Amino acid sequence: MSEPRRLSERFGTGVERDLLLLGASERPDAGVRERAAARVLEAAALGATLGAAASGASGKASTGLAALFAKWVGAGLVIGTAATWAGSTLLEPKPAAREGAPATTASAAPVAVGRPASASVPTHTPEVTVEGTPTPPAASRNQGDVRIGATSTLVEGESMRRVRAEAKNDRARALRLVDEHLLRFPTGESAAEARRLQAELARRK
Amino acid sequence: MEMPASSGTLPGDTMQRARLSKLMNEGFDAVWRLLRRLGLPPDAADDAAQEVFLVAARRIDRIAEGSERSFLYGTALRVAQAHRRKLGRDAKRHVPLDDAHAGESTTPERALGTRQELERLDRALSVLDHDERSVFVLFEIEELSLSEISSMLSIPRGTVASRLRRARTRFVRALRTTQRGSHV
Repeated sequence: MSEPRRLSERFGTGVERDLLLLGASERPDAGVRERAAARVLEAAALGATLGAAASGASGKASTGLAALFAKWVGAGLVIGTAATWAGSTLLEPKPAAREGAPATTASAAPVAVGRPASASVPTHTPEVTVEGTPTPPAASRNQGDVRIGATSTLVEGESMRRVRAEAKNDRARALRLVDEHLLRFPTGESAAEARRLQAELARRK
Repeated sequence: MEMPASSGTLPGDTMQRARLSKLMNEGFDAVWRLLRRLGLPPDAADDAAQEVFLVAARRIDRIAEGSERSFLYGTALRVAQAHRRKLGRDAKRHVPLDDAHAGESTTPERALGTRQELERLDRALSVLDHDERSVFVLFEIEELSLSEISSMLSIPRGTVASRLRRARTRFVRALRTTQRGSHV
């Protein structure tokens, strides 16, 4: 069974293609990864410490009392953290107190996932043009039609990222992607790089 | 020869921590994005991504070299499903993004446009059930192959292909419905 082409690169209409590329370009806020990394590494270090304490104690004490103690300390920590979390969640009306949540709560207690209820949902997106026609062939489809005006830079960036990534793996696919990229973004910020890559890929065998 | 506990565990722990750090540096954004496309609002995606890596931290010594992405995505699918269950009805209701999550957009107009387009994408994705949505997002956005998805979800490749076909049809129909709706 052959691999189907992706909507974002083969037979998707402009809107589908661009929305999927935009979806692939979304990133978390700056700092989210760093905060998560700190908590995860902290939790990992705590786990290693407790594990080492438990195994060291069980090796030395034939009765296993020290190991039991270490396990109780661990269980106490988890229960204490969960109780703290539950207390703060029940007492505070704020929907999410993520900044103060300790790392160990992620597996021991439910994670706060609420969002402010006052936010509104937009009902339309005026920048986007309508295309309800069946999928046209690739040649007629890619005539520089960028459907998502306000976010075309992000879409262009994601499209170029895919070209770069594929250039290292599959030359034929990369060539197809770069051709499409240039048809869609002939004067974009990445056009010069895309042309350079296109020439380089064409030279490559 | 049996190594003393302290000298036997410390170097390994250091290596595992380094591996975990690398995993987070290279995979966090992708996991977060996958969670978002599976229907979690940005704040919930922050928490859920952290949860995915906590699972990875606990099982780091059991994650085979080269299968990290598969492990992270597989865990993310389960975590997303659990979070969406917790969200209950709210998960089906569309939750708009705030300005801070509008990606790399630099101007207010651009941030607004990005936000609206992402909301539109997620609205169209929300018509898919969890199985269809997982396959669709993994294939169309995360660019996994059908075989990779098949082994990750432990389902036959043909089932992946049929879910993808169904998901595509429903996704495209949903998008066109929102287009018509926005131009009435």
